[in-house]
Amino acid sequence: MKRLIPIVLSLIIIGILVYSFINKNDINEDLDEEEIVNIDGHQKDVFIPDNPRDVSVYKLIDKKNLLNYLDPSEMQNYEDLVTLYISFLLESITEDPKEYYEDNKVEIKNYLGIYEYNDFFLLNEYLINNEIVNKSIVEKVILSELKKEGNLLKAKLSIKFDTGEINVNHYINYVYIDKMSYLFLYSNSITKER
Amino acid sequence: MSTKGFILFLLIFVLIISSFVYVINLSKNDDLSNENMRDIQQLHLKYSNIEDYYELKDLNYNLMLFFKSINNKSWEVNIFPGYKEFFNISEDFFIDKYSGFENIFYEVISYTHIEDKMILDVKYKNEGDEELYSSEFVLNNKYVVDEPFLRIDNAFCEIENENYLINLKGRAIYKDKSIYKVEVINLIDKIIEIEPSMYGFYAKDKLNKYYHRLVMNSNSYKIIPFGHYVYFVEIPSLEIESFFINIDGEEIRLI
Repeated sequence: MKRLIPIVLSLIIIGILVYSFINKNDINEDLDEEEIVNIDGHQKDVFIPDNPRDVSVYKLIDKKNLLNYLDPSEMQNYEDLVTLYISFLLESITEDPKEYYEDNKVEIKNYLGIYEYNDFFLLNEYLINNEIVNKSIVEKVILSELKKEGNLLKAKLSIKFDTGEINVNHYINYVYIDKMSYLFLYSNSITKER
Repeated sequence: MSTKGFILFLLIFVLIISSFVYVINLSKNDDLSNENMRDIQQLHLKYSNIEDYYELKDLNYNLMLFFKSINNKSWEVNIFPGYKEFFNISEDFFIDKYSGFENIFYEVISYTHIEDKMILDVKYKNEGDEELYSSEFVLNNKYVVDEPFLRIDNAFCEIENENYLINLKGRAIYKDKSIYKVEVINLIDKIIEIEPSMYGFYAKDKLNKYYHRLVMNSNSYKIIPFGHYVYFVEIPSLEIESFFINIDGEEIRLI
């Protein structure tokens, strides 16, 4: 019996090691597959840097419903805007929202689609309350709701981080201006409706 | 090897393997994180290189809110405060004005810059309808209105006699027209009438004469005994030297 203990122990430890190693590799493979997306559908005259990886960093899950309202190229565009939204969302988490807002008003408008301090304050507070920090890692982005209102699509994103989970609403505005189509993401005045 | 020695060996082995796996994953995560950063930078570059993308996003913002509030029958529109005050606009003014619309789609046909405002030629329609509507909207970074309105000018005048009091309360300047706000108070116990034809109000500039049109629901030319009435008088010109009212059989110059 005494001789069996080290053998059983070593088998268990080796089993755990092999399992954890395989599991890690699976996660990385999943990420790599998800990141390969084509960017062809974007607007002409857009400067694409040499050797682009052609990806949106944060891939949306359950986005098929979007195809009922947007063509595939605009869907890719939306994913890109969501990527910028989430990356700036993390960057913008702050303990001094007033000062941050004053210093970064333009970026907050551009990337978060927020035009008023009040909305920024509420969003920041919501993130902090849900234990999202600047270094949180995005694990999953799910397009959980989509509703059409004229030119607007009201979208709800569920974002899972390693530290917590949030739900954010925004409007996707698809509009022609001077014969060019544009997709804008606005989150003002609806970020409260979680 | 004794059992104790074997367990110690196993522990050291596990520690080495764990450290190895940890370092591998750490560097892999770093690689991913660096790649993500590069991708995000590319996306920043992409939108910065779409001509005027963020300027147009700002420009479109208030227009989007305007149509959203019409669709939702809510009130989220930032109307120019001067315009709101001058025309005594109530909160449901636009909701009433667009009450026939349920689900508006809009398109900005063109935009031009005048003074500190953008004037947008906008076409819109109800979803599924054939009929297409057209309006010129004015926006700046905060406010919107569905007319090519530019500003309110000071234009004041008060004329009083034993029968009536006339108050000129200002002038709204549009892209190509003016709207005067005129209050008339009847001081006597009989109806006072403004000439109900196009000569009721008119303006002059050098040799040109411009006749009026009543707008914003001002439509009656009769003022009841001891009553008062506010007229919004549209003159199709910006260049105006003098402005007249024909009231109670008299022609009175207000400017």
